[in-house]
Amino acid sequence: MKHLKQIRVIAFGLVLALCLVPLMAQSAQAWEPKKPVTVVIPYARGGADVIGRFIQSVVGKYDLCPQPLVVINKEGGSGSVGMKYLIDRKGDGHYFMVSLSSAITTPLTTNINFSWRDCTPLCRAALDRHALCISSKKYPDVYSLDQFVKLAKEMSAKGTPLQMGGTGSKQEDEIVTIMLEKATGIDLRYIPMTSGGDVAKNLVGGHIDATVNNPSEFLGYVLSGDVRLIVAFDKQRVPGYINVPTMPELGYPDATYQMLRGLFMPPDVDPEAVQYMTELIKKVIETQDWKDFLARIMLDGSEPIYGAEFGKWLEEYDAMHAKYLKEGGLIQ
Amino acid sequence: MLDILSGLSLGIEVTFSTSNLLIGFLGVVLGMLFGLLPGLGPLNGVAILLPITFVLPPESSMIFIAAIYYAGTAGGAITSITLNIPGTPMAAATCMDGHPMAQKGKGALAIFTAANSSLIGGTLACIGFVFLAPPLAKYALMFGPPEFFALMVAAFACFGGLAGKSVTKTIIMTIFGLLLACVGMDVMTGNARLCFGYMGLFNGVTFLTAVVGMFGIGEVLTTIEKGIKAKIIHPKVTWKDYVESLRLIYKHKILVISDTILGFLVGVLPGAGATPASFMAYGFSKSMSKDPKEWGKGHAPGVMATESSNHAASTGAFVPMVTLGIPGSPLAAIVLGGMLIWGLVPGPRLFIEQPRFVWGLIVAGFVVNILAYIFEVSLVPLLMKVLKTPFTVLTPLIVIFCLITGYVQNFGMMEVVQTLIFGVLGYFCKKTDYPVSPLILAIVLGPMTEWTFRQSLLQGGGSPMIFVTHPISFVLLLVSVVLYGIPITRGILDRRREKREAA
Repeated sequence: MKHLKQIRVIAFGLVLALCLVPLMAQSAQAWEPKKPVTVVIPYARGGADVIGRFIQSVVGKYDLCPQPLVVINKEGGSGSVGMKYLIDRKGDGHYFMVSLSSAITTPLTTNINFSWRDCTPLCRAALDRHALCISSKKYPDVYSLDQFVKLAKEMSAKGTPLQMGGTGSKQEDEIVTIMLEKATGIDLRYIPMTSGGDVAKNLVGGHIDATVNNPSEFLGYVLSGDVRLIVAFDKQRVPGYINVPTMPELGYPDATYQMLRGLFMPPDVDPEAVQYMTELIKKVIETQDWKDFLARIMLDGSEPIYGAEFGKWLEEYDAMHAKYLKEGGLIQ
Repeated sequence: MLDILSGLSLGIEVTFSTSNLLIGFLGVVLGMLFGLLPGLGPLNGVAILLPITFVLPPESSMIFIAAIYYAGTAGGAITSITLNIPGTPMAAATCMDGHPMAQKGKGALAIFTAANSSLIGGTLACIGFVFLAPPLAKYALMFGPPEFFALMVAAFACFGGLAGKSVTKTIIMTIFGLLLACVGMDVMTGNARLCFGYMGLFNGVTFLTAVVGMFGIGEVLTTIEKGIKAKIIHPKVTWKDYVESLRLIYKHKILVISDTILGFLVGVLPGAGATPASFMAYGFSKSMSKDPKEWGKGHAPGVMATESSNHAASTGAFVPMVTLGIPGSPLAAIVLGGMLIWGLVPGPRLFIEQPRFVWGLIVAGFVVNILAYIFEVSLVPLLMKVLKTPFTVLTPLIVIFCLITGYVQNFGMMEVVQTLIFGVLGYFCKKTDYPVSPLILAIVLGPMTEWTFRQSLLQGGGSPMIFVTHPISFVLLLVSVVLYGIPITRGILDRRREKREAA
């Protein structure tokens, strides 16, 4: 019995000591991750999570972080489930989320009571472009925006407007479609699809007429002659598609859209943790691997912005989305 | 023909290099592990290991991923049979006859049957891939929203044969499943449905939580209630079981081959996938069989139908990915992302521009299937030990595995709660004799049925005529009417016969 008591005392002491370890560690000066850093992808596996997994592989390859990065997919609710998960990690610097434009569109269009403003903006890592793509098997003679507009008007007059596929509802694809309709005064029929793959399948198979999409996703079909790019919704021409004009060139200076690839941290995080993650991401972005990766998936990574500057840009970006969603009658 | 032969020889050259064979073997071991570990599954395995492949040449990466995937698929069936917890969604249908077989003490026979059927399904599908890829690509592209909707109706019709004793109960469960499938964000409008403002439901009801809950936990609850009266005797694994499984497959060769073809044709369609394919094959074969009453009680052909069709379908899913660059399955979506990083351009020109990659993948499909098969068969004696574990030890483990499976679906407690609720639901369904499989099928097929229906109506400007004017959809709908008719006529005939016999 006596031994048992001794063991208890020792055990208590050990537990107490273990509890004190993190306290002592925290008194050390600069912030460093003390557990694996979780990269939250608010979408399904495949597609959008490549960028998160690539950051993970670069950090691992160059040993940029004393703790490993762990990528988890928290899909659902057009990105809102993942965002809520991040917001619930309040104050914990061991998390960041890699999000697309859904961080802006979903709070605008649904009645969830949180938005990207509840997160800590970390970095605008890259921007993706959008282009108008048409099924060239179905419309072998349509090469220019003028021809497309003429075709669209003819089809609406017949009562069967051109069918535009796009991923999801009230998200970037529909917004860009509205942008095109408003700029050129045409009427299109938007058909929401479940994923980029769904859109590709229906466009190549000729079940829909056209779509607005990231040009990288359609490179294979453009090379094989199944799909033709008509115009890019961007200020500059898209590398790899130098022959494709941009909307501003054709006289529509405001009809541009860039899709976000942004990093966010949970709310109320220690500024030193934000600083640490910013430095980490900067190191990743400076590697040649990152530049090659962006070039391959045709993302524009020329101007990464961080922290407060990114937050300011997000406000403008949010206002732009709200404007088009209102014009299209998708929100009040 | 000549280009196929030269392609094959190129593929053999790529696959049979020492390093690629080693990578393939490593992939098989890891894949089997991912398939066997509850909840992880081959899809998570591929997603987790993808960054490793960024340092390998594309063809080696692809062999690695194919190996993980094929072996994981095989491993998924093992947990379906032994524990009634499917390791992957596509092995869910295997629970229906595989687990009852294990309960009857025929676990080894069930695994051997599954292994042999999947080897046949996978290999035949690879052959189909080699010789039919270009026409199959054309066929895959013929399916737009109306055609897909008609296919889904046909899938439900195949399952008409799965009705339990009471047609009313089957209909109730199907409708309940369709209702559950509506929960979550609605793709067509971007609004949350049936979430009651509760964030945890935004991702909807996940298929695997429903399956492991109803099958795994529901089963455990039923067994606990019954008590462990009948001790199941698991005879020593002998070669007799192996030979017996081959004999059974030979006896049901037409079933295996027709389900392979069915699975392959469904798998090739981008977006359809191996899970619906296996359920369709099961329902179809049951409707066609002479003794439908035996199905679901530990009938070996049930395992043959699901395992040959899901392997054929998952091989078939590579066809649109390689020939068209279309991610037709969740795996293909991950691989296409990987291809961009490996520096390949997915799309119709891949066959011409990257023959090493494409033919390497095709030949690796054959090799990896065989490797996974050998590995699986040699594991059987060890796996049978699992079944001999005392009930009191195994049961808590099964519950834990089910909860982990639920958690891994979306890394959240919501899915764990869902699993538990489905467990209780599964228990009461069993007690009141409500069939569970129609509900599971409705959760699998419900979302796609709804999307394609609404997409078609949008395309047709609101008119349902679009389903009749599109020839493929029209034919499929006609087929469905016939398929619905089979169990009904059979029921009427049975009743007449019973009356005559009674008279």
